[in-house]
Amino acid sequence: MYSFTKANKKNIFAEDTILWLIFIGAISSMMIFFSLFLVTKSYLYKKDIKTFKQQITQNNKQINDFSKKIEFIKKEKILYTKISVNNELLKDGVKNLLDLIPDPITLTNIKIEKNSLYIYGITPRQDVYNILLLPPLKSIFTDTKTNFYQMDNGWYSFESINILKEDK
Amino acid sequence: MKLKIPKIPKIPKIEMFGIDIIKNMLFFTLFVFIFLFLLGVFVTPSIKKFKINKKEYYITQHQLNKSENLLAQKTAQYQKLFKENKRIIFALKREFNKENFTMFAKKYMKIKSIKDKNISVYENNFIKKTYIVTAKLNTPVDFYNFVDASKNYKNIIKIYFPIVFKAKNGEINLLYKLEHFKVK
Repeated sequence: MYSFTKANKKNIFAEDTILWLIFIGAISSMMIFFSLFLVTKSYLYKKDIKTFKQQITQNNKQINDFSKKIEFIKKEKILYTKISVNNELLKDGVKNLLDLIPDPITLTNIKIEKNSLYIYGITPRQDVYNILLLPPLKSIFTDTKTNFYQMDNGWYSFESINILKEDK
Repeated sequence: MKLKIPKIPKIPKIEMFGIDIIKNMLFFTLFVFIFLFLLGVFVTPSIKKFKINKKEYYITQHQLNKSENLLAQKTAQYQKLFKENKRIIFALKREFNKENFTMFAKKYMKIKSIKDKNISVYENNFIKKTYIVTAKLNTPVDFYNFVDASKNYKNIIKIYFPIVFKAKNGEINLLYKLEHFKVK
């Protein structure tokens, strides 16, 4: 059997079917690519978040270390100030005490303790001591005791014990 | 018994301007189905995950900036404090040296002896070493000047009670307690 016309090439799918398949395939690919893009972005965000968190932990550790160091320097400064003030007060205390001693009285020994003062010296008369030195001592200390011993030259050596009780 | 094959009615072919309406309708339905399926299975969860991560990213970045600012503040505060108190910091690290102290006090008094008394821990962070010092001086003013000068000594020292002044041969014998402070 022969045909007078040439055989036409026939596609498996019709033209509109191919168009539909291309269209559906393109849209599907675009959606999958878009999803992959978002997943990649999310992964990168997560990676950065992990790095940030590590940096935050490291920073917090350093902040903590610096806070401790700052606190310690403050403690050192407080200690230094306390000692300086103590030395200053001690100097002024000793100076004020020695300034109390009137000219006619000569000291031989003076022992200063935290809450007590022992004074040993020589006075021409007992009343010189009682008038010039005893009143200021009495105003500072809670208990004041004095013993006099007459010397060969008529002067008196004295021993003064002064106690300051804590509550005063 | 012979089974009869059921007769399936053929889908009628409806054409408009040469376009197969039924086939195209079926393809359109297939497209909508695939589109909704991909949207539901891939795109929506990805967007959701992306949004959550993006939000967390900015929150963490903000926290990082905050911590970096705080760290910068603390570093500056520490450096300032360190610079201001350098002398105290180094003085509290030094050991007490009797010879050096004798040399320092020489200007004000003649040190006769420095005896170790005890060592104790002070306020958990410091060590306090106590010494008893005996010396000779000319006037009590030297003692006052010595106490003033102790502020600038290379160690942190505290002069404390008991303080004993004893007159002997025109000179004053002095005894006092010296406390040296050092970092533990």
